[in-house]
Amino acid sequence: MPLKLIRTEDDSTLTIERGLYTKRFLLIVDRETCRGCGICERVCHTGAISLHGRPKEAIDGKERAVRAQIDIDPHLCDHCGMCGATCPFAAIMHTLNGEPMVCVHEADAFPEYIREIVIDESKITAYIKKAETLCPLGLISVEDGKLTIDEKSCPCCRVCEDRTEGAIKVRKIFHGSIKIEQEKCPEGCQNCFDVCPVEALELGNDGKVYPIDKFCVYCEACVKVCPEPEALTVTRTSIRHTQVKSGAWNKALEKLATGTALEQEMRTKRTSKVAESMMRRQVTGTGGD
Amino acid sequence: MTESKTDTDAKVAELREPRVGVFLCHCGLNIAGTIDMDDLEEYSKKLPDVVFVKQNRYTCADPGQDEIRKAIAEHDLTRVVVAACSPRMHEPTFRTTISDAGLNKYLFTMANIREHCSWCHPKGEATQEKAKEIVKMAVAKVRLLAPLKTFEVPVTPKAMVIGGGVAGIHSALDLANMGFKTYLVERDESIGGHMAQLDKTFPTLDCSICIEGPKMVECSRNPNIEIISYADILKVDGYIGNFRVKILKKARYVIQSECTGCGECVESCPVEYPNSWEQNLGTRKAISIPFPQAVPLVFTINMDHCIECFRCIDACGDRQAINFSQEPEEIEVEVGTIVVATGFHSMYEPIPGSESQPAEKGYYGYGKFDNVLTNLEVERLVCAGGPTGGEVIRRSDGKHPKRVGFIQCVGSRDVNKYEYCSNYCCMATIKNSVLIKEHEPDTEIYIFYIDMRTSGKGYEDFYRRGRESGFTFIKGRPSEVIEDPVTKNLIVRTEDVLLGEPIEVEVDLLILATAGEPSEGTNELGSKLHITRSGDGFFMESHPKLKPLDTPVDGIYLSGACQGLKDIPYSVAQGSGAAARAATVLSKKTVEIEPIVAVIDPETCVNTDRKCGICVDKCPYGAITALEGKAAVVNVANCHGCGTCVASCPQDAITQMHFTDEQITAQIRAALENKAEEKVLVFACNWCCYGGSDLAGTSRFEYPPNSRIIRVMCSGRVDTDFVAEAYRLGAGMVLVGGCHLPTDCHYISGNWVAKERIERYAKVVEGAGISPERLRWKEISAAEGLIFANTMKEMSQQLEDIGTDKIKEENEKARKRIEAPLKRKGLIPTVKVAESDE
Repeated sequence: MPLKLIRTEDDSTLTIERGLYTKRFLLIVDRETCRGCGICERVCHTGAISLHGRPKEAIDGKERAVRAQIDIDPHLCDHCGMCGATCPFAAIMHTLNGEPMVCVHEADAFPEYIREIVIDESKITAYIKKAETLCPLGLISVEDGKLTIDEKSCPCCRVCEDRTEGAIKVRKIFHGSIKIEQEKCPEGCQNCFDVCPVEALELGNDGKVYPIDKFCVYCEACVKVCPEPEALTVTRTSIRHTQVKSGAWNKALEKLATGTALEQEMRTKRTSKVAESMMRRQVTGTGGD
Repeated sequence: MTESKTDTDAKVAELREPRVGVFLCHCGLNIAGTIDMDDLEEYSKKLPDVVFVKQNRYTCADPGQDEIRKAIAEHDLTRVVVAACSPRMHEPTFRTTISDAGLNKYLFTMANIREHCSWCHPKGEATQEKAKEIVKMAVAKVRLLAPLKTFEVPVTPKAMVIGGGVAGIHSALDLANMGFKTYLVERDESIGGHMAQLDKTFPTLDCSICIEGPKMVECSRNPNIEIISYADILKVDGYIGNFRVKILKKARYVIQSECTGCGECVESCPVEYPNSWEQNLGTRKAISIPFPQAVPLVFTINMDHCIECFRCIDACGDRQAINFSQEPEEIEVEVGTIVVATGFHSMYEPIPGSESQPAEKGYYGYGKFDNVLTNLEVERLVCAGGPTGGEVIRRSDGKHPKRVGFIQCVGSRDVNKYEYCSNYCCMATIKNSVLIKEHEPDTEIYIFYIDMRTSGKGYEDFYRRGRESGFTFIKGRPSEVIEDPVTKNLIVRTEDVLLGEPIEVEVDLLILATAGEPSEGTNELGSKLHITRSGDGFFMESHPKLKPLDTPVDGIYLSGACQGLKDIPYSVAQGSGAAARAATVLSKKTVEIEPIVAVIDPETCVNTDRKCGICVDKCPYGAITALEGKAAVVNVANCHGCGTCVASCPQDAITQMHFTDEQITAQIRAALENKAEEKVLVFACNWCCYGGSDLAGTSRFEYPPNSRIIRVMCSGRVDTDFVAEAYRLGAGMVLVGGCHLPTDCHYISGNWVAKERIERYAKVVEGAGISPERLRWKEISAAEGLIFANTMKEMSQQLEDIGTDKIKEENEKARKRIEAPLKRKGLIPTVKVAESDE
């Protein structure tokens, strides 16, 4: 029976379907939420996901860079769920016969990010009024007079922490660094600034872009639109996630973060089986012992 | 004792003047109906060294053979020609006959006046002329034949069965139970083949896996059977009794000996992918077995889908059966015989590993409409172990269909797809109808058919049972199927041939009885084994009636649907039959090898004083060694007797026994003595082109009778000197026919050498002033009788277009250049040399 391997797209969503006789797997990408960071592209084990740059658009009479967009090949997608599990913005959803189902989570084969967001109820009241302005992604809202945060979509940029002067406390998921080599940075280009999902980049008086390390979520959406290969570099040194013994995660980590991150993880949570299997794949050769 | 007697006789025979006996076979009216046998007898009597001519009604029958034996004794014959059918048919028969009469069996030639003459040309003067010249050519060759002694080589008493379907399983079991070690090589993860996928079997409605399963297990338990599953055949070398097969065992990433088949790894695996064994109706995990009854019960990780989470390693625990660093392994086994049982592929059936390929859009909306299925898919749906737990439901809404339609002959008996009948589908449809009706008794069944073919034992009863349970049979091939966009029902438009009017039938579910086709990789395997495919793409048997299990390659046999589509009982019967054929080889200690090998004359070989080694390069088997300063030597055990080296040797230092330069030249001269410019001289390789010419005769494809065919073992044997000799004698056209490139050659690469040689020589010939179309290289397989006939027609037409006068003129013009190499080698008979020297 021919599989139904269908890609459908409208303005706000991209849907990849794998239809068998009685099973229907869907992968739904929310185009609005997707920030074009490419983390899913790195993690995908079949190479089904690709990232495409888009032409600039005129906004308020000014040419602005537009964030990259992902595309998924329905013939290659395994519907394993790793892309959804690693998306810091929760832009990807998986369903089986209409019910949300992430294969890798079902079998406990992949961790989830740890988002640590604590609201200090005693201090927060002052900010309730301007709740909508606290989050650059608009994840903070007020319900029944209470401030709520859409945690699952939060990349943990800490902008709200700054704006509420600590009434909301946030720990980042990713740790790392962002660097802009100003001399390599092309004159007048502010592509990175245009696409940054949070407010981690600012425009200097000299027209150059400067990173703000404390807000950066190290997602690399900026790197994807940077025209100079070495002008902008982002490195992730560690990722906070739930404990799972999984080679797949190690592999993902290998692709997402620096060798030291993997090394650290390996050292701290080495269990004999995983280590052994990793050794077989000779990953330790690059990561050290 | 007998051997030494034959030896002495042989020596005597060689020393004496040849005394040729010619036996003209009527073959009933097959030959005598077209050819004037008395006239042929008179003619044959006048041929040189012919001392006895006799007509027989059937020479191959006992009385006919007796006549030969009697004549040998009475007339002291030392050479025998039988003018009858193709040597591919009865040469072994008559060799035994003359050997019984005390003559060396190689002092025999057949004149093929049936396939090459009476069957493909109408009665007439030209046909009579051709028959005479075929006999003349045979006599010319037989006079020069030398007695030869067959080699005996030891037989490896092991067998290999390629393909573990029901036919292969039975071949393997029978061979193993006869006491022969048998390797059962299977491409997929488990043996079982198509039968394992079926729910029930017709006409008895036995549970398919319940009867095949025990046989599969028996294979794995039998100490004489070694199942090599998940493996591909890489290379096959050797010959009857001594094949060497290289096999690639694909990596399962699970250690077969450690895996207990518990299945805990499957539970832990997070990734699912479509299960092609379930016709992609359901999924399987990245580590899994295709179906629960798999043999060997070893799990396999599909690395295309594995995310390497290693959960399975944890699940496997102390058993430690999973090994991610496993690599594909190449092994080589030696066997005496090979049984090919590679089965078939059902149209639209998914091939493992092709999940990511785009869906095929097929006949009658298959792949486009949700509720159009194939019979094989229905087998999986109706099976309790299948993806729907035995429920036949519609894909569009999951409901049980109330009206089910079947369309027969989808892809079969169809000039646009496969012209053959697929044999099993009529019965498969009736069976599936019965099963569906059994599950849901109020279902209406409509069967659209061309003819219902129920020729097996008990099949007609089963068909009647279907009719009696109220199935509606509608005769006619539906023209179109359309889908109701709302209900997703299907509307079948057809002409009811019995009513003679167009009708429309609306059904909830439509099932296609799709054709069987040669299984994936049939061509590649055929090339590796050097066995031919027939026009329909399935493997070709040696003889459709008498050798249905043999291939042209000695020691390789066919079993089951790889030879042509058949149902389970016939496949099983063939499986056992092929095992018996294989056992005829394995049960002997030695096997006779034809002594048609190449021999190098150390006196003539120039490798003694300069580096030559051309023969070493050309030998497809690496059977020749040429040490510096020494004459080249043929390793007889490795020589397969193609003669490629013989034709390639610039010094003519190599001789192929039984196909010597002198013998072939004698045939050329006999063929071209009269009216050479009107003739098409064909050098045909025994395995392909000669087979094609035989098939043209057997199929009664008519072509002009001006062709003369000379059989060589391989097109690589055709020396440019032969072509030169043909033109020297004034030949009209020359064809060199070999096997198809790149890999069909029976001798690995003889056809490559031949093609290159002939194309190079064509330039020389053209340069000498001969029209380029007068020398042709053509690849014709043994299944391409029509192509052979058409080539003959084409070349005769070209000959006519050029005209004999122009041909004579061209030959005269080219004479000097064409003759030069022959003259240098002293190959032109002295009388003629004297003339041309003038």
